[in-house]
Amino acid sequence: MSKFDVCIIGGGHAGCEAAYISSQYNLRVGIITLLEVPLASTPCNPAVGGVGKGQVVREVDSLGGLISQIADRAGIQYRILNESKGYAVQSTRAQVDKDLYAQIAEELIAEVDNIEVIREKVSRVEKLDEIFVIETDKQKIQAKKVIVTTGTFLNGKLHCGTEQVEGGRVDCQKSDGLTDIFSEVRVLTTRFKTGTPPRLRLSSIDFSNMVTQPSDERAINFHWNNRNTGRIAKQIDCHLTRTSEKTMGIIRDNKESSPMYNGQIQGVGPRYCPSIEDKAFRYPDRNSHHVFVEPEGHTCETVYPNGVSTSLPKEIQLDFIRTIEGFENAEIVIPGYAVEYDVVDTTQLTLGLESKAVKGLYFAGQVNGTSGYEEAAGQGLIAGINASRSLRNEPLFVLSRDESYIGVMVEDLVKNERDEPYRLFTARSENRLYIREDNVLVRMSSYRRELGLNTALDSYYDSFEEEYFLLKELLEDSMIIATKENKEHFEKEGYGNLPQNISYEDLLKRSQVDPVSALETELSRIGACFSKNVIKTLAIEFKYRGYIQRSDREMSKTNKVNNLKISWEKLIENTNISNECRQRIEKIQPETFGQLSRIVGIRPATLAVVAGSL
Amino acid sequence: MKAFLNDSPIIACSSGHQENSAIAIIRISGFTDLSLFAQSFSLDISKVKNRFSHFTKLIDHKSKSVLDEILFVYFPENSSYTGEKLLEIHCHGNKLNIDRILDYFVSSYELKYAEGGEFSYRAYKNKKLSLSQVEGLDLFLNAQSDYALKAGMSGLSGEIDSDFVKLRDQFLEIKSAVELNIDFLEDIGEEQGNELLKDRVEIFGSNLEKLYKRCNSNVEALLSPDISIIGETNAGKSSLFNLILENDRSIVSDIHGTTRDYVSETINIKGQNFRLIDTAGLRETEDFVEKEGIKKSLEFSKSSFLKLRIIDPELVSTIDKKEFEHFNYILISKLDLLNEEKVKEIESYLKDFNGIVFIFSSESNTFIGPMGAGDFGPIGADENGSMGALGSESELSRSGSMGALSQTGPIGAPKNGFDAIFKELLFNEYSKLTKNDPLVIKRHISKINELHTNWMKIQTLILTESDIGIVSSQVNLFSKLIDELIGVLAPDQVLYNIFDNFCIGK
Repeated sequence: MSKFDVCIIGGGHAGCEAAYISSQYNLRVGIITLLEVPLASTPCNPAVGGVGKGQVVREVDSLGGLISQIADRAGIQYRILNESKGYAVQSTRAQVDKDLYAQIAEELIAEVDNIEVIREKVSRVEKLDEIFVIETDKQKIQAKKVIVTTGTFLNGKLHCGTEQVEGGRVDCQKSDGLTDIFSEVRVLTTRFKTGTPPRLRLSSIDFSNMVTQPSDERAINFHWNNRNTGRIAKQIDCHLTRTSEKTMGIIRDNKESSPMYNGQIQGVGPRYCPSIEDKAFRYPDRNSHHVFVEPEGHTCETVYPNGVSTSLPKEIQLDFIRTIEGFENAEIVIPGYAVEYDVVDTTQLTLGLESKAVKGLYFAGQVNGTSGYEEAAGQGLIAGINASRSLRNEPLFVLSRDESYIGVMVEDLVKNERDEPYRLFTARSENRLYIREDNVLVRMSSYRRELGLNTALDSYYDSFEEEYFLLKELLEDSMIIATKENKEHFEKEGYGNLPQNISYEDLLKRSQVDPVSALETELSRIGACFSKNVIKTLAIEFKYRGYIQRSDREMSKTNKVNNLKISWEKLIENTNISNECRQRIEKIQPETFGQLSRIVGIRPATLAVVAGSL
Repeated sequence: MKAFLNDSPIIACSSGHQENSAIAIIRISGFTDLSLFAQSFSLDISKVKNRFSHFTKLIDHKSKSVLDEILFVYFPENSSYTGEKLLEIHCHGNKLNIDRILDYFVSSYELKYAEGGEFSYRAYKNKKLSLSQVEGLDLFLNAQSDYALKAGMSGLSGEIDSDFVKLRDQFLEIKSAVELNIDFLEDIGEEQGNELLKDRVEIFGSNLEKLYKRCNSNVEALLSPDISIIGETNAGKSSLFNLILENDRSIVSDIHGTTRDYVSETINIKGQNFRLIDTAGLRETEDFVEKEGIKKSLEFSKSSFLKLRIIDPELVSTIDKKEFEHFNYILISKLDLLNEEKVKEIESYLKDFNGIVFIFSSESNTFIGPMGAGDFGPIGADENGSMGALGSESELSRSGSMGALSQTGPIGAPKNGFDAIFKELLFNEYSKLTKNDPLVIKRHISKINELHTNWMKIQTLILTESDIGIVSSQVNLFSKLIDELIGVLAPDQVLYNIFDNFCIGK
């Protein structure tokens, strides 16, 4: 019988992350995963990062995680998203080679001595005294802590037209329902739904009239030890095309064949990642939707048409696909499908992602109702750290929502009931100007240090930190003198006037000035030599500093209110609050006014009243 | 802030007991169970029906003596004013009786005398009233003009609240368009994202503008409309006063200024009270030169919504035309003594005046007018429709004066006298103030003004700043202001100001 300190059920992005981080605590770590599924596979679109998500990948990296390392080694096309929208909202996204990605994940996990991967199917988990016993089809396994990262496999059901197959994804069997495995764990009553587009044969596509999107050489790699922009894998182009009136017409004509619109699928899909059917019926006036044509890898014969996820019958999929420019002769290799699955009720978890009902049992990833590999990895990291710390009797490790997207996500999950899959966007953070990609080291590295994780990053961080404080001091202590020479220089660079001496902050925050290139120029003028990442971090920090301070000041009143303790026990006795609100309050058990105000469905009137009586 | 610190049961006489009255209403709120009071009533308390009137004897259970015969209504928390269990006792309104009953309950049960506004505070706390409803109630209870009653009711009924909530919802649309531009730029495309944002900015902006216009009213005038009449001694002020007040059964009070600087009379026109102020005393007692006197009078009457200048016809041409700018109306007295030539001369002298001119006689109750460049007069209004703002046309014709006017035309001997037309004018001027449905609650006005000022900056920022992170941070700050307007964020000071106005028992 195998015995583990931490055993992870599920070898996807959350599972691998949880295992990788737990292994750094010198524990015996096991991953139990299905035979036919590779580790950290990418069944949906083959890309890592994105708006908000790129930040999470870098946060995981700066805390000592894995996803960034795999993504860089398998990354075949990098993009900087939202580049025209300012530095605070920019994010990196990398297309990955699907096969290579899984292969690298296997390699990196295999390199870790204290992780054992067991390829068996779990049928039952029981807690006996303080030890979990995990029954598989072959054996019984003991573990002190269990992290469940089963993704879409819990009671999964695939839909492709009227065909229905049980399973978590194409060609894979499903796991049993969560309720069968853990009787004490509450599952959400609604099932969630996610879908994919059909995969098309690369050789059947005509790229000649599509917009080419080459890999952006300026995008910085996710992992800090993969210095900046040097790519590991060979880069490749993506392409952009659009749906037409014909495309959308076909979909609208086949409403009754769509499992989502004929009632066959009951699960709730994410509003913000809509299927092409959703787009057709929700926006009846729009016929032109972006379709990103993404290669699935160098050796893959398939491309992923991002934007047309569907669960229509195969024949209709082919019909509408062929109306899209460049897809006139496209062949479908794997049809698109939708999957419905069980999710756990995350309001029953702690901020460490541990079940309140079953101590020692953790949940992370899509089983928690999130979508996205990055969200899964972030949760895997938090669950792994906390499961490991709990074995050492160390206190809960929580990232605050003011300093990280991981913190935002975990609090949102635990303190709010969801009725649709959770995806991270930057709008979920109240502190977007601060939680940026460029300053992730400033935000996260001290935690990694304290936790003693991935010490291979220490030397990079040391040099970054040293330069960072040096440059910050320089910028704060020196002025740009209004000499004739400087005035001319300002004119030439388009910085605006220089009527008197100004600080560097004054220059960098001017709206007509790009802070990063301006600071690079100014530093080279005075002959100061700093690394690019440090300059970028500080240039952006100075640009936003005034706004952040002002927002802090103005919000401090609100924050004071938000941090005030409330008594949810009293609120649920208040007969003047609607039943629905009381039920939500009872379930979530908010401890502060801020948490109360973030509960979905709590109306301003209730907040006004509670605020008034604080 | 008043110490509404605990939820212990409170009692007060809600009908006011300054004087003896037929019936008084005593309310008790926040007790745990009605059966607590069983021994104090002759009826069987277990048979009491919610929200039904019960006739019963009120008994002092210690002395077994009957205190009063009363009506008794019990409201459970989900249907009471305060959101707590509430008992209403309708007793006889003798002051001694009321005090005796209050004392009996306070000494027999653990009740405390309510502070002013404490019942309403509990209603607010228990979600029975929103902040703007409470403010409306405050206005309603303390109203001194017809419009204040109306505005108070629109607050109390939740009408204002829903206007504000609509504003907030529209702002959320802007917020979400900004977010869409950040998180879903790839999906929607840059052009469409910008367009969406622009549309929503426009919708919100025009709605805020509407609310803002409702804030630019003369609140003082709406709440207590004063009309100042300024002029030299012997210009005919007293006669005009007397003409207006003569035979007027609607005179409601007769207040004399304590400083003897002015005399005021309150008249009621169509249910609206106006205070006419004669500032005459100023100049006479302090012996100012003419100009100083006018200046002082104007200073004194600066909160008046109408300023009338009354002038002796012989003096008109001696007065600096610039002075007229301070007034809404110019009234030339002693019409009876003027020939046509003189009238023309006066008209010509006043032709640049940007208000309304009458030449009138108090003695014969006749007039010529209105003349002048005023943007409104009873006749013009009839044609251009701005009279519509006064109320329905039929209502006006019922009062008769419209008919009279259209028969006589702008100049000529009216069937209705000057007093009638003058009153009509005053009422019309007042109605004009209420045309945009103005807001009168000071906190609303100052918050909306603040919103408006900030919006001007934000609007430009949203449409011009390319760094959307900055846009979003400013947008978020702005949304706090809207939350404050609605009362999601209500600083103690706000609550203090509101509840401090309330009387005991409310």
